Amino acid sequence: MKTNHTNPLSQQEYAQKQAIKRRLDEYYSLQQKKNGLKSLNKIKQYLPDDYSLLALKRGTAIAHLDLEPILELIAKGEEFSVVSGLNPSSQLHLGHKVLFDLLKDLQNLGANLFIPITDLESYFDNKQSSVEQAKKITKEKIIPAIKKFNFDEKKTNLYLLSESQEIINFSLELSKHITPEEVKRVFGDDGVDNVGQMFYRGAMQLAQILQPQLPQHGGPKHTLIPVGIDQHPYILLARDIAKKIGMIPPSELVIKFQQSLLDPEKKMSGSKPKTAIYLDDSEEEIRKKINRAYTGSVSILADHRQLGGIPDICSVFSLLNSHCQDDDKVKKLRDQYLSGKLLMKDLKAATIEFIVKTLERFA
Amino acid sequence: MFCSPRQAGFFNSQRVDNLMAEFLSPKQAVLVRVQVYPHMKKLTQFLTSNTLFEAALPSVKELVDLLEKKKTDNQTINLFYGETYDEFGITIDSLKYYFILSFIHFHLEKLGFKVKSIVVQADTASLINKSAQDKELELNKQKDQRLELLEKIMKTYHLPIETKLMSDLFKSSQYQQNIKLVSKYAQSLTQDNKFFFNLEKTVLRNRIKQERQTKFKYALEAIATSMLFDIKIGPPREQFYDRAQHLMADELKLDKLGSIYLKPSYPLDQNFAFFLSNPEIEEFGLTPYKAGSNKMNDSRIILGRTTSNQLGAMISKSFESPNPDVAHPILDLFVIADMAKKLTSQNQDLPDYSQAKLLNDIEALKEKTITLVDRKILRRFKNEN
Repeated sequence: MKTNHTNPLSQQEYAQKQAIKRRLDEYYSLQQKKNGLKSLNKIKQYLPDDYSLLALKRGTAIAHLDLEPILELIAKGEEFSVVSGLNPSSQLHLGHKVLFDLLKDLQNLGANLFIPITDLESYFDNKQSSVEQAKKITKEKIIPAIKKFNFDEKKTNLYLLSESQEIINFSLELSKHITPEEVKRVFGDDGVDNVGQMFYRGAMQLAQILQPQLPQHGGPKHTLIPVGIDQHPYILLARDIAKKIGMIPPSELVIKFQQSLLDPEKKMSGSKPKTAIYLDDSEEEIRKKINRAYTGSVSILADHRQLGGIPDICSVFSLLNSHCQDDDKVKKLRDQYLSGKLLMKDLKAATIEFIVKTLERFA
Repeated sequence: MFCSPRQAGFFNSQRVDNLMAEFLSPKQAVLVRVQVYPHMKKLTQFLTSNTLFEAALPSVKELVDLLEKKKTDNQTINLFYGETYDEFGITIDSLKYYFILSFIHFHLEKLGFKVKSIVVQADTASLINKSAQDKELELNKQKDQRLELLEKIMKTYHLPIETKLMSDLFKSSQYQQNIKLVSKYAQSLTQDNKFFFNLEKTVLRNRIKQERQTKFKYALEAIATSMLFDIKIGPPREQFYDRAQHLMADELKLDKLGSIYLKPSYPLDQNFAFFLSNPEIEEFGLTPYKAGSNKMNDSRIILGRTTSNQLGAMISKSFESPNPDVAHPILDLFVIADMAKKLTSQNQDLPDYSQAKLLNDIEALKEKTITLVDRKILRRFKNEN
């Protein structure tokens, strides 16, 4: 950091932004360590360009558990399964797109996708007033949006939890293998407010994770679960249960949340419209949201030029980083950002243009 | 000790942690020694080549000092490489050790040093291996075939190396003194001593139990044998024998063995995921001289057994990457074959390989490697095994 001739207030602002970056780095590194997750560095070194995933290249995927068997299948060109559920508490936003882009990349590498829409979870967690309401938003907004990702329909099992007798039956079967104490131990006392939540977390969630290994789907197989770090306990529980019932413990790929437009330490949330860009937002809404988003630059332009910026905490840059496929463009912008050559008005203009174009297909 | 370019590998501080002593970058090592001994510039540069070498112990600087001291005292420098064997024959990876030993030998001789280079065939150690016990007759037969093939290798490539059997070395009074000393030292230690900690690391995890059962007999013999020499060329995993020897040397005020570790030997015919699923092989490679190491003999080139067609198929399917920080099975093969080419034509100058250039075009590297290995190695040992 060059501090000569910069305003003391800018220096203070810059220091605060650096502190945010430090906190974020420490948070993810602590979570990785605490949860016994493995770094992706070695995998990034070995993965040939043909298999490269945007989430790996851009650091959106941050850690893993037992990813090696999945990589072996990918290397041999063999099929594997991926499960990634979606809670239909709101319309889809760019945070969801990160996940669906990853699922699409994984499908291109041989994955059979299982995408349960967890309407029952929305209901148990009071995110929707009724199961019917959750079903309605799913059918009217969410499923049509997911279909625009152009998944291979033959290799995609997209379904509503409340309509899947298979999941309900399997959940009932699994519920006998798990005690209430185990559920509490994994999720903590505060994690469960009603019996429905306990059944959901202790059985129904696990049934979704292990579903690809049911006999009707070909029996035990390697399954990958991309999750946010907060979902890690489910994976641990599922791995334990898998061993008990003769299935293969699922592998885990931990994904960073798409950061809130307003606060880099929070995630984009569908229930807080100002923090998120929905896939069906208009150009005007996108422009408005990006223009007032949090950045990694100090407020005084001259000082930004001197101090440089911090792209890793910038909500605007994170949109490009997570969604733009053009490596050279993102790298160039990042370098310019760090050196202070990139002005926020230019970054915002480029990002607005890119996001508007990217979301055209969802309009 | 010079810094390996594979920072994520062998000398990753996390892996070597408190075993790390001195840490010089290759450039620093070259500068330091070149200032003191300008005539050693080429050798120092050679020993810090990131294409051929993983590391040196105690350091390149100290190895050069050791060589200079020997020269001043008008003593012969004893270089060696030791290997056991199995029923699958001589691997192409063994050639790398013979060749590099020879290049160093030739270079030192040119500089006026008195040098003796030995390849030790650890016949007795091959029989200690439990899985080999019932194969004693077979192994003895192999020993004869191996010695015959080694003779042919030495002649084909004009190598200045003498082959010795470990069983013959064992008969020497110096060895007898060494083994008594090492055994006595080991007996004086508790099992949790760093000495044993190092010895356990000399084998793959699945072999530790067996080593404990034999009270590290093989390792102690290996250390006692190494003490007959000044400098050893070996695979990276042998650092742990040498670190154990250094611990003992420090306590008993003995000379420390100098060691040069070559890049690990990797199986062919494997995709990228293999190296991620087998982190121990990724880090240390296969045992270069044991074709059956990790039961991967079908993925290795064995003199007199591997055909040209098998070679082509194995190389074309092998993982190789332009990233300098990963395993390089094909690059390793290329340098072996290129050294074979040089030595065949009696070009005995220290070779110089640019990793960056060679890894710039992987397909071209694979093609060149297939041609060179076939012409300069395989064809010369057809039907030998």
